[in-house]
Amino acid sequence: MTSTTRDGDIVIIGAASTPFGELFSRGFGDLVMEASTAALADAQLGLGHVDAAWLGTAFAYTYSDEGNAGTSLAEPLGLYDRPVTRVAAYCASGLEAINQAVNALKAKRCDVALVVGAEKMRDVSPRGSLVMQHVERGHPVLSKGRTAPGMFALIAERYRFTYGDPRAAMTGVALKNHAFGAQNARAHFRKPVSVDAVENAPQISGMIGMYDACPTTDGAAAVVLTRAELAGSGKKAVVRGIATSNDLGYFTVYFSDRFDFLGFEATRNAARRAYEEAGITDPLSQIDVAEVHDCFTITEVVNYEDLGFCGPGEGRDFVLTGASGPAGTLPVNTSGGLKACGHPIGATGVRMVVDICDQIWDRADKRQVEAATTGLAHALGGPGSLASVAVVTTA
Amino acid sequence: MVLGIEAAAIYRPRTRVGEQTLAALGEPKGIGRRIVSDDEDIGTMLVALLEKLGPAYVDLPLYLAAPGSSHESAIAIAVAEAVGISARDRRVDLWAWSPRALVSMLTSALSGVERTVVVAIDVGGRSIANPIAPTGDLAVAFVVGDPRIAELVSTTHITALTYDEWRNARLERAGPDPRFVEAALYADVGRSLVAELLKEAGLGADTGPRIALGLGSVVPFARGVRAVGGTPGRLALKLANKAGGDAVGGAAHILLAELSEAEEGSFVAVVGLSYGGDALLLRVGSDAVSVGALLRLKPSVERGLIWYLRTREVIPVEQPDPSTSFAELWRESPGLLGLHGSQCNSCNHISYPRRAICESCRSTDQLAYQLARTGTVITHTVDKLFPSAGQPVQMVAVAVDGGGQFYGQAASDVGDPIAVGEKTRLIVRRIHQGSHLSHYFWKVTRSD
Repeated sequence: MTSTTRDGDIVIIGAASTPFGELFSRGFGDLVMEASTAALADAQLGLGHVDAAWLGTAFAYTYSDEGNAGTSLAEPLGLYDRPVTRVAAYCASGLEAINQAVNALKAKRCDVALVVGAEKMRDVSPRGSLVMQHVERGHPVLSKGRTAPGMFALIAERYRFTYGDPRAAMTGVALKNHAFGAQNARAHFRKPVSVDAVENAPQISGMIGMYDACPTTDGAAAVVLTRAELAGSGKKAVVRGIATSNDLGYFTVYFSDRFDFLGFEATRNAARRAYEEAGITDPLSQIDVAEVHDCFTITEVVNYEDLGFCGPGEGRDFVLTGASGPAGTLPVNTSGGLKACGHPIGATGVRMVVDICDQIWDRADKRQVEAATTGLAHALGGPGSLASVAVVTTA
Repeated sequence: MVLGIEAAAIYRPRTRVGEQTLAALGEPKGIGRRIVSDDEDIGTMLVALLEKLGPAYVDLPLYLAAPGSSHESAIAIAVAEAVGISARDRRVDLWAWSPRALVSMLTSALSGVERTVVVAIDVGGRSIANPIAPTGDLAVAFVVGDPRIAELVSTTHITALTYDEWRNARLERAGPDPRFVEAALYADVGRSLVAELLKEAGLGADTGPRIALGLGSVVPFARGVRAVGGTPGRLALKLANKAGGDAVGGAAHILLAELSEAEEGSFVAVVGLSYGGDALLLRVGSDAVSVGALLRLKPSVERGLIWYLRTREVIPVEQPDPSTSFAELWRESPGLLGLHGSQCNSCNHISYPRRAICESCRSTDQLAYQLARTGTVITHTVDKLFPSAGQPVQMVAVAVDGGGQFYGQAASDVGDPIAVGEKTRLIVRRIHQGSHLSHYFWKVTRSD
């Protein structure tokens, strides 16, 4: 894809991420500071240049006391006397925070925007985990029995009934993403896995076993954005298109007969609008690398279909033929995805954009996709209630 | 003026503890015993029973004898009202949970001037002779009114210091002497009651009515009935010794058994004993033969010893008890339990829970709609992550007949997991406890 910048284009000029993992020695403030200063250094800027900031954190009071407002970013960085806003959109919090920064920059309400995604999830014991919090503090009736693995296990089962067994494809996603993660120094899990390990893992819910699920993780990622005409001559990545779509409720998502358990309307709608903005008419040929929301292996399979990489029911073949692999037509999750990187919820969307920037700035090392110029980031929240999609290209 | 028993219904749980489990608990050899699954309680049993009885009786006064506090019975009534099977302005009288209560309730109802529904529920009982073993769980309803099943002939009662020490569930100290109970309570009080019934009815002592006897005794049923002066019916004996409840529900069950085997025009005496006793005499009517169909058991799901010990709390089990907003429950449960949805008057889209704005076309023109109770399974999963004291929860999504979609737990007594494409129906079950309060919602079970 031929890329140029025009005045008014929103560009990323710095991108960085902390390592992801069980980071007991780092608090929320430590993580946001580390990601922010690294991203600003990457942009060759300092904190004094930032005139607005956004913090993507999904579940602030679930694990710690922080992340509930922009204060949790302003305080550790000393970003006072300027707007610092917390954005919450479940697992799409990070991408939606970028979306808001893009809007503000286009409206010229700021010149340099810092966007940080962060989540601190491992400070609590498993009894205090996201699952338990949701069970105990969710809707007193509608959420009883509902877990994230369970909700995607329902999709795997319906997929099996409609198109055939997705097990081999789910295993393929796990193998691919852990292989990528093994080459990513920032990933939570850095070892490859075997077919045997994946398919004989303890079962969590339905077809979802332990190796079909992403972990909960600590981590933060940050990007620095500005308008193209202010960016100077340094490296740039253009946000060609970005969109978020809300299409279903939260506790009522599976009570809606608009939901067919085979894919997500929110992803399709967000992708359609981001593609339109970015001039993408054929994702498979126009996108070189993608980071998609693989909270569970089946999710990546249906994401391929919802994002238009292949048709309905063809997601299994997309991974089994190697099309989403390192030498494939469209490598997906070369970072290792949520599967291997881990999923600090608010950080994930920003981390995806950081990884896309690494690809199109040719700094992905062993995971580099040759001549990558256009990347896609996709996050799904709710799960299923909303989604965000961003298309980022070289300048 | 009401004259007899007009209709009846019975709810027997699907779950059964089998012979091996009962043997391990020290029970004599016999068939399994039906007890409630871990998501059932008085409330869910009452709903299931009233649904079997049918909608024709929803606003009749209700007499209810059930274990636990009056608070628990009140919750059960409220759940039935929210589901729509009990009228909001229905008069409810709560009775003590004792073997004698059935006769008391029937006597009171039969003496009244309005039709009445009499409900007897046994749940969570333990054998007086063997406190670790369960007695059967069941719920029985009689509609007192037109004497189609049986006609009231006479009633009587005796008060006596018979020191029978009845307990509803557990022995707190050494139990009553069976020899004394048999002699004093059954042979003395029981025989006197039956003799008085016959005398009041102008019947000879040789009339020999079948005896429906309130249980809860250390004296075996057959000996108890013989001591009173009757002959235990074959079916009644089987039910009393093997599968029935030990209190008011068990007594009601025995009455149904006797009515099902009695010839039209013959007599059945219902006797409830405790520090004296109450008794009433019924003449069997033309519809009594239909009672037999109620007693036929449907297939069961067998559960083992560990399940029984945990769910009956013989082994203490730490139950999660998250905090619940009572305001939220008060505000939302009626609509959720009533299956109150909405249908868009513009595009006909059906939503549940109810919406003010259509999620399909965003029209604000929404009509009230009640979701159907049947549907077809779209997908499912057995979730081992969701905390559950019993077996892992199966979550099921159902395409509801007529429109709409339901997502929720499978009932804990479905047996094998429900599969995609199966026909199912929704039933009310307990879903969990929060702030020490049971929460109720719809669960999915197979269609009969």
